[in-house]
Amino acid sequence: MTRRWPFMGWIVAETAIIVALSLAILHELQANPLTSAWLTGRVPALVYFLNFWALAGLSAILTITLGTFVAIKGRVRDQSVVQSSRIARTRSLKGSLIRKLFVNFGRRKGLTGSRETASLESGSSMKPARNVSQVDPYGWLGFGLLAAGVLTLFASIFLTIAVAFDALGLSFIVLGFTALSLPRQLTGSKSMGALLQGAILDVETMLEPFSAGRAVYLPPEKSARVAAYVPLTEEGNIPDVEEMRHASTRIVDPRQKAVLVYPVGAELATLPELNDGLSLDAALNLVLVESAELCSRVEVEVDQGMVVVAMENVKVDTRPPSYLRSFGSIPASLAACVIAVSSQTPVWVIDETGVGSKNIARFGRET
Amino acid sequence: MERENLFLLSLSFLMFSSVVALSAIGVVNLGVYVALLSLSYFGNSFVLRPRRRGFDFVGLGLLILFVTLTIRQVL
Repeated sequence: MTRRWPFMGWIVAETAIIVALSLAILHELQANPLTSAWLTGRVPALVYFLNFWALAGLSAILTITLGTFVAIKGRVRDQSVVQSSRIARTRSLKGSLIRKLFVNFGRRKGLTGSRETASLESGSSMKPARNVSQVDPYGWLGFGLLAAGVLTLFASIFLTIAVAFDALGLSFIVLGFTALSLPRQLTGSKSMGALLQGAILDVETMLEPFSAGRAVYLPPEKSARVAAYVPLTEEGNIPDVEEMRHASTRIVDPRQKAVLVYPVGAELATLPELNDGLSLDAALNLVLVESAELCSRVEVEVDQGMVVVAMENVKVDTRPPSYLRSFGSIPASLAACVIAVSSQTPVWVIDETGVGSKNIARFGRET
Repeated sequence: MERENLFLLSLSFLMFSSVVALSAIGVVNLGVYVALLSLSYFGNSFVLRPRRRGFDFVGLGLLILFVTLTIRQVL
C-alpha cells in the first residue's frame, strides 16, 4: 500500500509535466516566430498538434486515463485478497443413505431401480472444478481501445480530415470506456455468498453432532416454505411425504431419527415468478444467475426422475461440512428448492461433479 | 458465453458495421454516425443488460453528445 503512492505520485507528476511543457512550447511558438519557422521546417507534424484545442484535448485525455488507471489499480489491490480463497470446490456427495433413498423412491414407484442405481455409480468419477480467473478481463482491452480511439481521432482531425475516421475513433473510445466499465468478476456476488454462508450456520450447528444423511427437499404446502427432511442416522427407511412433513423441527432426543429444517432457499416458494408457471430452466436462471449471481449460466436437463443442472462459473464456496453432506453446496441447495417448488415433488441431491468451469449437480425427484 | 463478453462483442460488431455502412453510402454528417452509435449502445444494453462496475457514464456521454449534435443541427 505504501509503496504504491510514490509510483502513483510520479505518474501524476509526469502528466502535469507533459501538460506544462506542451503549454510552454505553445506559448513560445506564439511569442517567437523564429521558433515557429524552425519547427515548421524540421517537424511539420508537430505544428498540427500545437494549438490550444489539441492541448486541451490532450490534457483531458491524460487526466481521464490517469484517473481510470488509479481507480483500477486500487481495485486490483483489493481483488488480490479475494484470490486466496478457493473457488468452485468440487464435492462428492454420494452416500449410502442417498443410495437407499433413491432406490426406495424408485421401488415405491414400481421401478426396479436399475437406471437410477447406474446413474449413481457413474457419478463417482470426480474431477476438480477449474478455478475461474478473477483478473480483470477487460482492463488492458479497454486501455488499448481507448489509445486506438484517441490516435484515430487525432489522425482524423489533423491529418485525414474525414468524418468516417472521426466516427471510427469515437467507436473505439466508446468501446474502450465500455470495456473499462464492465465488472472485473464476471460472476459471483461476494456479499450474497457471505449472507448465504451465514444463513446455513444454524443448521450446521444443529447437525454437527450427528452423521446426518442426505436431505429430502419437500415442496411447499400450507407453510408456503420449502422444508428439508434430514435423517439423523444412516439406518432405517425413508418415510412417505406426509410423515416427513410431520417430523420434528427440533432435536430433543439424541436418538431421534430425523429432523425437519428450513434450508437457505426455503422462502423461494414465495417468489411470484416461481408460482406463475415459469419453466424450470427460467426459474433456475432467475434465482441462481439473475438474483443471487452465484453462477454465470445454468443449463437444465430433465429426464423422468432425474434433473441435471449444470452451473457455470460457480463462485461460492460451501464450507460447513455437515450442511454440504446433507444439503449439497449452496447453489445446489438453492437449485433443489427451486426444483421442489417448480415440480411440487420431493427432491434430493444425488451428487455434484466439477467438469471444467461447470459444476454439474444431479437431483433425484419423485415422479 | 458470458453476458458481458457477448455485450462487448455485439457492440463492437454493431458499431464498426454502422461506421463502415454509413461511410460506404457517403454520409458526411457526424451527427448521423453518433446517432447510430448511440442507438447500437442503448439497444445492446437494453437487450443484454450487462452488469457494470458503477454508473453508466458511457451511456450518459453518448446521450449528451447525441443531444448536443442534434440541437446544433436543429438550430
